[in-house]
Amino acid sequence: MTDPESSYSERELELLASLRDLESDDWQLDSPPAHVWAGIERAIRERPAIEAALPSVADEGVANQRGSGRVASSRRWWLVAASIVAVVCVGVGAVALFDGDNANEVVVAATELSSAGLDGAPEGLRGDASVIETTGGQMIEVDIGNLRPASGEFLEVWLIRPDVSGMVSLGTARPDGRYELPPGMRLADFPIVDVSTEPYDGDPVHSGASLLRGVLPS
Amino acid sequence: MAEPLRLVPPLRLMPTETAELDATFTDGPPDVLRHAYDRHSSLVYTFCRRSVGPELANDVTQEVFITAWKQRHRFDPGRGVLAGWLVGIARYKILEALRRRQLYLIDDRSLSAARLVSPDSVGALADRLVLADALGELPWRTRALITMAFHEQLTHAEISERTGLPLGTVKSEIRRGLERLRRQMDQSND
Repeated sequence: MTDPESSYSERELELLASLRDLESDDWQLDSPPAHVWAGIERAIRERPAIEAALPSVADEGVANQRGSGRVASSRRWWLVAASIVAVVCVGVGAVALFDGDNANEVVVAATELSSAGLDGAPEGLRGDASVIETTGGQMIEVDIGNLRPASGEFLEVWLIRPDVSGMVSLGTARPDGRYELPPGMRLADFPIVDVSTEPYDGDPVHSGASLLRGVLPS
Repeated sequence: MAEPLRLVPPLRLMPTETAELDATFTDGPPDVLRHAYDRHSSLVYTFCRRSVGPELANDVTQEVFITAWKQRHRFDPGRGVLAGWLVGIARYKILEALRRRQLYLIDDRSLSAARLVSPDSVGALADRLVLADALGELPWRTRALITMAFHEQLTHAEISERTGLPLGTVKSEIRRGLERLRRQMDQSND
């Protein structure tokens, strides 16, 4: 019994100890009531497959935005954009749209962006913003579709307070659409996602010319 | 003494089937969600019920599977097991539900008294349930040997004697099984 050859390693003992710590309840799994699956099936069936495969609808919105044709069509071009960005051909068995570092992420909040109601912005611009929980913390993914800056200008992504009393620049619009959140920043304090067009005037302040805007659910 | 093992046969899917389910989850046909639900809904539901109580557990369980389906392209079977991924989504949904409803005191009727739920306790519960689930996923003989090791605290030699299996077999089977558990635990904590 004291023969080292026949005893457990330290790592094994550790794991055996956590197994021993399991409570009797932990072994007893209960099945959910049957209507739980019925609700899932209804939600899935009412969402077209192509839409279901893609992120960017707020989690809270799942129950409220079923089967919206408008949402479905915006997903479709998102799919095109994503497949270009990721250089992955969707539909031929791709496992993930993004590389390994980005796998197993969860969208924890999302909103649609639009130019509606923004002074001076062209009508009908659309985008999506998603907050993504990754192993390294939260990121925000802003999809601006095929929006490109006008000549002599660049696009900048911002997070803004609900009362517009403050804003944080996430930087120039990036091709991959992914932005790290400044450490310690509470997204709930800056829920407005804004994409502006900025002149190369050296002035770091928001130009006031927003092209897309949306509000992340709190 | 070479008494035959009298152990409980497996009740769940065998590991190979579960691995196949994981591999096809991202691009499989719609009924793959049903398979995933059949396989993992009791784990997810039990986690929810024990965290947010029976009233909210149904809704949260639904949200977990709907979100998993919508975001299935984000699941990479090379990086983790589906059970761990679903439990990770559930953990987020549970904390969100608790925060949204300011409902930190759960009165779970299956428990003797109301108890306080914290993010830490939700995380610890997730770990325990994933571990118990992972153990259930092992081939039945490996599971039985590991159970003897942790439950009755038997040494390799005692297990070998008890089961009639060669000492080397006992050692390697327990080692491989525990390594697999550790991998699943690590992955679900990503």
